[in-house]
Order: sequence, then structure tokens, then C-alpha cells
Amino acid sequence: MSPNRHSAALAVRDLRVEIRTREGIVRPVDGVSFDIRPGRTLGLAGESGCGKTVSALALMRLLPRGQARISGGSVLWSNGDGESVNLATAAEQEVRRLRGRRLAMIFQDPAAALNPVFTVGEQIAEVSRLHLGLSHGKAMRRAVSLLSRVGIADAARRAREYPHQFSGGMQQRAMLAMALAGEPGILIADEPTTALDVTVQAQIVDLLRGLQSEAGMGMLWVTHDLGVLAQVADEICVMYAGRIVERAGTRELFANPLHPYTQALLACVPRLHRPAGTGGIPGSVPTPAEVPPGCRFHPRCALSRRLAVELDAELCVNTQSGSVLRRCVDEVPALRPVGADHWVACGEVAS
Amino acid sequence: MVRYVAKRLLLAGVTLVGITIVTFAVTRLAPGDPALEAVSRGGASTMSAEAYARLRTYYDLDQPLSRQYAAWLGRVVRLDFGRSFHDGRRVTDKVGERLPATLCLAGGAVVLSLAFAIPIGLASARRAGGVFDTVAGGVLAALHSVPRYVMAMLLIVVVGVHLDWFSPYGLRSDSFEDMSYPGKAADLVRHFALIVFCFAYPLIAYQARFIRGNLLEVLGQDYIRTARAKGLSERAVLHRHAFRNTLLPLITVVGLLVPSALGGSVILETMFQWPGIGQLLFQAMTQRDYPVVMALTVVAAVVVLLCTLLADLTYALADPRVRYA
Amino acid sequence: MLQARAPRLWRRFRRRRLGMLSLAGLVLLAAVAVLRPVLASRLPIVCRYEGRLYFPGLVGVLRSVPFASAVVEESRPFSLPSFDVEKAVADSSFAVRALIPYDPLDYSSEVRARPSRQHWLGTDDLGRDVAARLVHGTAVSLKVGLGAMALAGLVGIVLGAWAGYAGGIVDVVVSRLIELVMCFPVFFLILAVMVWVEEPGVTHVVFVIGLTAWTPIARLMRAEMLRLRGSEFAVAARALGAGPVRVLVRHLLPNAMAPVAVTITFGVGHAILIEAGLSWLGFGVPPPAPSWGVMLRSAYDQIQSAPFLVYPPCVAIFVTVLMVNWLGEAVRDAADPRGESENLVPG
Repeated sequence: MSPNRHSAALAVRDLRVEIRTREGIVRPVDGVSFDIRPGRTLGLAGESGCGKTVSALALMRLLPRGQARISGGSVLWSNGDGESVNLATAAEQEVRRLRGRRLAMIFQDPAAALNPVFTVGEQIAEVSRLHLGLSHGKAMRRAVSLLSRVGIADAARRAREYPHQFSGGMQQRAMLAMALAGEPGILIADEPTTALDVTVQAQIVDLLRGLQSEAGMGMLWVTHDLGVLAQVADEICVMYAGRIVERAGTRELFANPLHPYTQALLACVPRLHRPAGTGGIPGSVPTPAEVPPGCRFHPRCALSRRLAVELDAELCVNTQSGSVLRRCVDEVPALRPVGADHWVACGEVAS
Repeated sequence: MVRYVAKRLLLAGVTLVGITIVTFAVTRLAPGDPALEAVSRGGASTMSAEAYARLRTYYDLDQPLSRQYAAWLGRVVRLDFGRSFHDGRRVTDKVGERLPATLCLAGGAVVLSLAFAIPIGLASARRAGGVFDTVAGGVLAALHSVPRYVMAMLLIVVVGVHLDWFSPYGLRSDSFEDMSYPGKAADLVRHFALIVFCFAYPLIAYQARFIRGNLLEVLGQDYIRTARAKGLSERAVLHRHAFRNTLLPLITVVGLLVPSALGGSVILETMFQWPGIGQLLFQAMTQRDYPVVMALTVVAAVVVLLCTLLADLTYALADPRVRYA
Repeated sequence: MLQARAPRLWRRFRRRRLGMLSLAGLVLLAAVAVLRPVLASRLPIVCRYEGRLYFPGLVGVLRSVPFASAVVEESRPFSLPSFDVEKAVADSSFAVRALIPYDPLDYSSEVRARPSRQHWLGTDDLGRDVAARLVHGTAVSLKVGLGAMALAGLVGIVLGAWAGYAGGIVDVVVSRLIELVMCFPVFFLILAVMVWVEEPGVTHVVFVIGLTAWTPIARLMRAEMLRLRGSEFAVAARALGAGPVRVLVRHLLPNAMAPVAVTITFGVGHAILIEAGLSWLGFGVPPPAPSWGVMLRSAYDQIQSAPFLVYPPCVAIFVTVLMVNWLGEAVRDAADPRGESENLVPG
């Protein structure tokens, strides 16, 4: 086990991703910064299409080749030992050395993420063979122990089975075993519970939390489900249309959501003492090809519209989606600190 | 799995019965009395009264159709196809001695085509749209459009006439006996190479395109992303994870290519004077040697049936999703 | 439904250069086949003979239209075997000869002549002009290719649609039949049937190829029917009270026609190949006829003495089949929008 495993960290600065489409170049991730700290879990939240999965893939340099690429910013991995690599620009070979070994990733749909023609054991063992240089036999034995570590009963027999013989929850456990096989310092979980039944979701959430504190991994948890993040995350970044609009400690964010988008998102989370907000947020996330100018949320922003009604007409502007504040259209709001451990990208809230 | 195999075998059995009925029907429902036909057409020179009598007994022509079929089927099951009109030898022997040459061709063609198609397919898929992909794709598409016998004719003209390297016909050259051992080996190889190439090149084109397309589809799957996330090299991702998933459909495709290869064997073997069953069929046709023609038709259909069946079953055995279904 | 579909298909097809090129080439080939009496014939197209104008070539074109021979009379005396055309033309004050002034069946003493100004592609072992035979062979190939696939298409569409739409026992029987016929390698079944044919001619070849080539069409049609049977518009049509035949013919068939048309197109190329192959073996169109396969055979038989005879039929077969394949691919790409999205970058 690497001595510095507990101090690996990932610093993401101004990350930008470009995708080439027929209509031209679009940027699903446009200047995103955050830190994954050792032993801590960072939640990345947002509606589907906001760029959170693309960000996660970009960290691992797993963007589909020839279609999407990192166009700017840095992804600095460091192991606390002075060794660091900028994943955004490092050579492919260097990135491969880290993938699966220092950074691991689990995906949304475990049924599709497992190769159907290899046994589960083989797929887990492959990682130990590749990164730890274990022999086939040793790697298989290790795969079995990893499988029991992620809570699969009768692991020795299960390791010889194929993915389709596993239930959804077990498939995600197997993915997790595969991710843990390289003893990574950082784990990126892209919607790890979305495709699972509710009861299984809770089990996987518990399992991941347990494993994380046990191994001291830094973790990025990407999800649209703020309810899950309330349980697992130490800190949360809320993404909208390729940008982070609010960042705060979990407790702070839930207690004091400042950005109108975060507020709207939270209103959608069902709670015991209050029914979920009806109808969610009006409108939908703009596609990367048609991001609005200024604050990207302004066409759907309740705050901007409310203020537009209250304030003088000269501060307002009429848009397709109604009257909003002029500054929301003209200015691109930066992420600014508004309190200890709380940043928000909204001109109105910050001032 | 057991149910699937059982169902597949049952269907194959039905088809097998169908094959015998069709063959029998083609023989019997043809206008006139096959024995008389044979006498009148095979020419008196080759057809004696004795042969005619033998033929009448063979077909049980005085019996009702159903009885005739039953009797004929009974003999076919025992691999008794009667005797050749042409030389009176047992049809089974005549066919049996020709089979190895054709099987060599078919086997050689499949091995050769896979040996070329797999690397080409992998390389094309690796850089889809790249220079190699474009060039190989264009060349293979052009090759694929050249009919086998046109290619054979062109090869014969170029090798046998214009370049005058060697006589491209048969298994070996006429001067084979006088050659040294390496010379003999080289002679066999170049005779074999010519005809095997004619069998193989459309297969190469087809399979390479199939592998490429299949790989590209597989490469878009989530589990390929997982394999990359593990830190595997692109090579390992392509050769191990992607290719293994392509192998299964490839098995089926190879099995399904057998009919076309067998069908093509008639002209190619005749052109190259290759002593296989294709050439035998041609000879039997020119000699109006019905027992041989019918035997070959049954044998060819059964071989195709077996290949399709084998392809299906191997697919099932090789695919864990089917195996444990 | 078909009315709305065809123009869209055509618009998409028109964008494919290779497809358009092939279509143009095949139209040209068809023109060659139809106009063969004015392209390659010893009869002049126009000739003033004994003070009268004759149009033997044009009459030949007209008479080659089906059933027209009953209406259009032969151009006597040019059509008479004993008539000396050469002399008539030489004596004539005005005569326009065919491009290739030879009949495909005319023997001459100029045997195995290399290509020259007189005989563009040379002559074969019986002194027949190869170019003339090639031109007339076009008609044989196209006749067999189109005829056989028309028959195969009819059988395949009817059986496949019936099986897929009716299901049940019909489906079981037709499916078994398809698998059964597919078990026989093409040449084996065709030869086994042809061996019984007393004197094979173009019609026999068309029938035999047609009756063995319908299986892929039927299989595709059946699958399309199974797919479309449960589709919303079929259910909607039934809900509106349309009878089964009406649903099948008006709603399902038009939707299934595009992929079937693609298969039939490829089948034409295949049938042309089989015809040439059969004729090469001597069990197709019988020898004096100018089939490309027959020409290939005669080239094979004297490959040592006249290797130049190999190329014309080889090129003709290759180019024709290539164009048919390209056409088929273009139609397929035009008919299948999925083919377009394949190259599309996901957003």
C-alpha cells in the first residue's frame, strides 16, 4: 500500500471541454474549478446536461476521442509526496499509469460498464495484474477478497460468474471492487446509484461511505440527487450549464442556499416535513450549443424576474422568457465568496 | 441452454428431412422416367440395358412414390447413393475421394481470410477514418466487387500465359515427379495458393468490413470506457476487450459464408481443374450422371446445414449470456 | 404513403455521387441492350436499295420490343439469310452502317484476330466479332438479371409478407422452406434442376435463378412484417376498420419496400453473375448465343492461343456487377437514415 495514499488530491482549475458537433464547437464544461481533498467527498450536483458527467470524464481523460477534448485549464493530481501530474496536458502514457491505480472511476450503469464476455473475477483481477504486477492466480485470489470486501457473499464462486448473472446492486459492487483493486487515492463516482433500486441505492451509499473512510480516499460524487449528497458529501458544488454556480459545505448549503438555482433544486428534494416543490424548475437546461449570454440561468431565474417586477424599468430588459434584470443578461457573474466556506456566482446575491 | 440446443437440433432435423424430400422431388418430379431419360439422353454409348435395369431397381420405379422415397431415404441414410451411370463405380466412393480436396480449399480459405481480415479489421477500427482505414476499405470494396471466376480467369491469364510462371491447373505441375522435395513443396504451394486466393479474397473483404464495423460499435460501449478507466493501453482495450466481443458474431459469419464458398467451388474447381466435389458436380452434369449429381446436392446441403448449426451452437457456447440463459 | 416516401428517397439518393454514376451507367447499359440492332449488326441502319429506303436496323430495334414482332414486319429483303448485305451496301448510294457492322453470330475466316480497327476487340475462335457479341450479351445479362429478380421479388415478397403478417402455421412452413432452400449452395440446386432441362434457354435460366434467389427477400420481408405488424400505424389502421388485406397492402408493404428494394437490387447483380457462371459451365444460355458467360468459356478454352479474349467479358461482368452493387449501396444508404447518423457526433 502506498504510504501517501491518504494524501492524494486533485486540484481542478478553470477546466474547459470542447465538443465538436455538426453545428460547430460547443463547451459543455466552461471554466470549472474545485478541489478533491484527501479523505473528503466533494459532491457535484446539477440537472442532467449541466456538464457534470463530462467534467468527471475529463478528470480521467476519458472523453470520447476525436469528439471531445479538454480545451483549457488544469487538472493537477498530487500524492502529497511532491509528485504531481497535470492530467489535462500529460502524455497519454502518463495518464494511463494513473488511471485505475491512483484515480479510479465507477459509472452510472454498471450493467453496461462491465464487459459481458469476461467473468467478474477476471475483470477485477485485470487491474491488479496491470498495476500491481500480480500473477494471474494471485490477482484472482485478490479479486475474490475484494468482492467479499464490497459485500458480495460467496465471493469465490461469484468471481467465476459473468456480469449478467449479477443483480444491478451486485454489478455496482463489482465495479467498486474493480475500482478499489488499484488502491486508488481518488475515486470518482458518476451517478453510482442512479440506475439502482431505492433500497439498493441506500446499501451502495453506505458501502461507499464505509470504504471511503476506511481507505481514506478523496472522492468526487457526481449526481443530480441532492438527497444523496446530503448523506455523503462534505462539500457540494452546484453546476449549471457548464459552470459552477454555488459552492459550500454540505450543512451550509442545505441550511442557507443562496443561488436561485440551488434554491430551486432544493425545493425539488422531497423532505419529510414538506412536500416536494411541484413541477420542478420551469424551463430546461440549455444545450451547450445555445447557452444564453450573461448569467446562464437568467431565463429560468425566479429571483431575477421578481426583482425585475420590483425595480425600475431601466434596470430591466425584456427577453424571450420575460422581463429580467439587465445585469443578469450583460454580466457573467463570477464565483465570489459570500461567507466562510461559501461561494456563489450571482450578481444579486453577492451584492 | 439445453432447451436452445434441443430446439436448434430439432429444427435442423426438420430441415434435413426437407433436404431429402427436395432432392428426391427434383429427381422424381422431373418430366419423364429418370431411367428412360438417362438412357435416351446419357447416350446409348454410356447407358446399357443393364444399367437401365439397375437404375429402375434403384429408384423402385414400379412402387408408389411414398414407398420409393422411403426406400431411397433408407439407402441415403446408409450413404448408399447407388452407382455412377458413367463408370459404374459407387457414388459414395466417387464423392468421398473428392471431398478432401474441397475441404482443404474451404479450410485454407477460411484460415487465410481470417489471418488477413482480423489484423486489417483491427487496424481499420483503431483509426477509423484514418489513412489505413480509407485505403484498405477502398481496396477491399473493389476486390469484393470482382466476381470470383473473373478473378480466376485473370489470374490464369496473368500467371499461366503472360508471365508463364507455371500451368495454373490441377493440384500440381505435370513435371511434379521430377522435382526435388523443396521444388515439389513449392509446386504444391503455388497451385494451392492460386485457387485458395480466389476463394479467400471476397471473404477477406467481407470479414474485414464486418470486424471493423462490429469493433466500432463495441468501442462505443460503456465497458470499453471502463477498460480505459482501468488504465489499459489502447491496444489492450482493442485487442482484448473489444475484439473478444466481436469474435462471437464473427464465428457465425464464418459459418454462414460456407454456402457461398461451396457454391463458388463448382466454377472455380472446374476452372483450375481442382479434383474436388465442385469439379465432380460439373463432370457429373456433363455426363448426365444423375446419381452423382443428386448425391452431391444432398451432401452439399447437409454440409451447409451442419455449418450453420455449428455456427449457431458455437455462438451459444461462446457467449456467456446465451450459455447461462 | 408510398407517394410521400419515393420523392424523399430520390432526394436522398441524388446526393450520392457513386449511386448516380452507377444509375447513369446502368441506364446506358440498358440503352445498349435495347439499341443493339443499330449498334452491332451487319444490317445497315438506313440503306437505299434499288431506289427505295430501307431501315433494317431500326426495324430490328422495334421488333425487339416484346410482342412487337407481330406488328412490325421484318425488313425484307435485308432480313433474308440469302441476301448479300455487303453487296447491297456497297452498291447503295446512301447507307448508314451500325457502329459495329457485324452480327454476333456471323462466322468468318478471320479467326482469333487480335483487336484491330476492323474488329475493336478482336474475333473469337469462329471468327465472330467480340465487340458485337459483347453488345448483344448485354441484353442477355440484363434480361436474366431483371427477369430473375422480378420473379424472385414476386415470390419473396408474397411469401415473406404472408408469413410475417399471418404468423402461425403459415409462418412456420414458410420459415422452414426458406431455411431449406438456403441450405442448398446456389450452383448445386440450380445445376440439379438444370440437369433435367432438355434444351436450356434464357427463359429456363431466368426461372431457375428466380426460383432459388427469393429466399433473402422473403426472409427480409417476413422480418419487416413482424416489425411493422405491431407498429402504431398498423394498429391505428386496424382500429379504423381496415381489413387485413388493406392494412397489408396499403400500410405495411409500402413501409417494407425500401429494404426489400435494396435486396432486389443486389440480387440483380447476383443473378447476372450466376447466369454468366452457368453459361460458362455450359448449363445456362446455350453456346452460340452471345452470353458473357459463353464468351468467357470460349476465352478459357483458348487461353493460350488468344489470351486477349479473356478481358472483354471479364470487364463487362465486373463493371456491370460493380455498378449494380454501387447502386444498391446508394439506395440502401438513402433508404436507411440510420446509416447517416452513424457518422454523426453525439452531442
